[in-house]
Amino acid sequence: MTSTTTDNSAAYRRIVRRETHSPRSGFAILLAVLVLLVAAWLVAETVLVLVGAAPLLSTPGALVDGALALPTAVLPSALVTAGIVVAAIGLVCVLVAVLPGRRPRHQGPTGRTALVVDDRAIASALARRAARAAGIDPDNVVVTVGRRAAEVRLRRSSGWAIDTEAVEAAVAHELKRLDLSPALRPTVAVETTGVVGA
Amino acid sequence: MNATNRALNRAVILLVGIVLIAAGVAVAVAASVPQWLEVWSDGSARVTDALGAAVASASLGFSDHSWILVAGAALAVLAAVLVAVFVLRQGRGHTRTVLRRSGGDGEIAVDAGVAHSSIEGALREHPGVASVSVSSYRVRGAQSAAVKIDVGVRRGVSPADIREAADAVVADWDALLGESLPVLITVNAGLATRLARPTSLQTTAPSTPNK
Repeated sequence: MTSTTTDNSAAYRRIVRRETHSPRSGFAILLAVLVLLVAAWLVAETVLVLVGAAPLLSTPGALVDGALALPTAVLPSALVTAGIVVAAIGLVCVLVAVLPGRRPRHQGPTGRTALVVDDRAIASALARRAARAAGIDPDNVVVTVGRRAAEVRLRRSSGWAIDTEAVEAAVAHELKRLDLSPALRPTVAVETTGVVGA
Repeated sequence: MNATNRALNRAVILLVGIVLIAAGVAVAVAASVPQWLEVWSDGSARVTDALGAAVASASLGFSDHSWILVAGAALAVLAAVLVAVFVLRQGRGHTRTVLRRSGGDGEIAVDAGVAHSSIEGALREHPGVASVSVSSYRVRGAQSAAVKIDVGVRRGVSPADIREAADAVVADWDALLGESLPVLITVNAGLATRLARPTSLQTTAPSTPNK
């Protein structure tokens, strides 16, 4: 049986974009739940007024009166502080909405399938390769993967030299195999002071 | 990869942010300039009077409460319902059928469970794999469902090796199905990775551990 070849490239572009960027669901749900709680509370207070029961916190009428009395009832300095705090929260919301919301993930080459790799998995693979090339334990290699750079730091055993070129070659080889986008520029650094038993 | 409306999420967060900034800046500026504070308190007093008159003239009839109160509550209910729908619409789009084809003799539907169990079972045999989970989604821009293979790897395993193994499994699945569904492979180093022991299977590099 032969498989029909379908062009999935449009679907892959969309899927990969969605996997490497945050949907902001958590933040949106947080805001929505806050609005929901306030709305439910207002409805509850109204019902309590209509049946003549005692309010939970305050009656809707008292709330409106309080809001209208704000400029005369509250110190201007308190109003300024409150306004700045509210505006700052608003600024955070705007930034969350406008910034790209990139996740710490990289895209691999697209072939029959599409690939998205978590940065921690990349770091872990690079650490293993670097450790093998240096002849040290993977626990003594710290790899930091950013969006466009990967930093490999090695802690050597006292009295043992590390073949930095071999490590660089191993890291470069692994990155070439992974063929990530955006591409990672590797830097290899060996800590100047060795430790016993590393 | 789900059907979350991301543009709507952004729009809602942006709207809330703009309202908060506008309200906060207006209050802070009005409170810091004495003349403006005067304008604000005068306006508030006028609104208080007008609202009092409106409430008095808009009696419900059967009780001494105003229908303005009831209208306010109705608005709050409407807002609550809209917000609840917004929350419930997050993250849907899973599908239980990966492929549906109809011919002259009838229709054939491939259940997602078939794809999930066969792909998961095949990938679990790979020594570098700590966990596999397969799910199917409806995706815009594709005629059929898209399959997502989430692989958790053991420490140090190259994602390229996992990709090769997964592609081989997908090739088998393509041959079985006679159709190339879009497949996304994600390689993660999650909790399972940290708990799992590092594999000793690595033949591509010379090994000289001194420990």
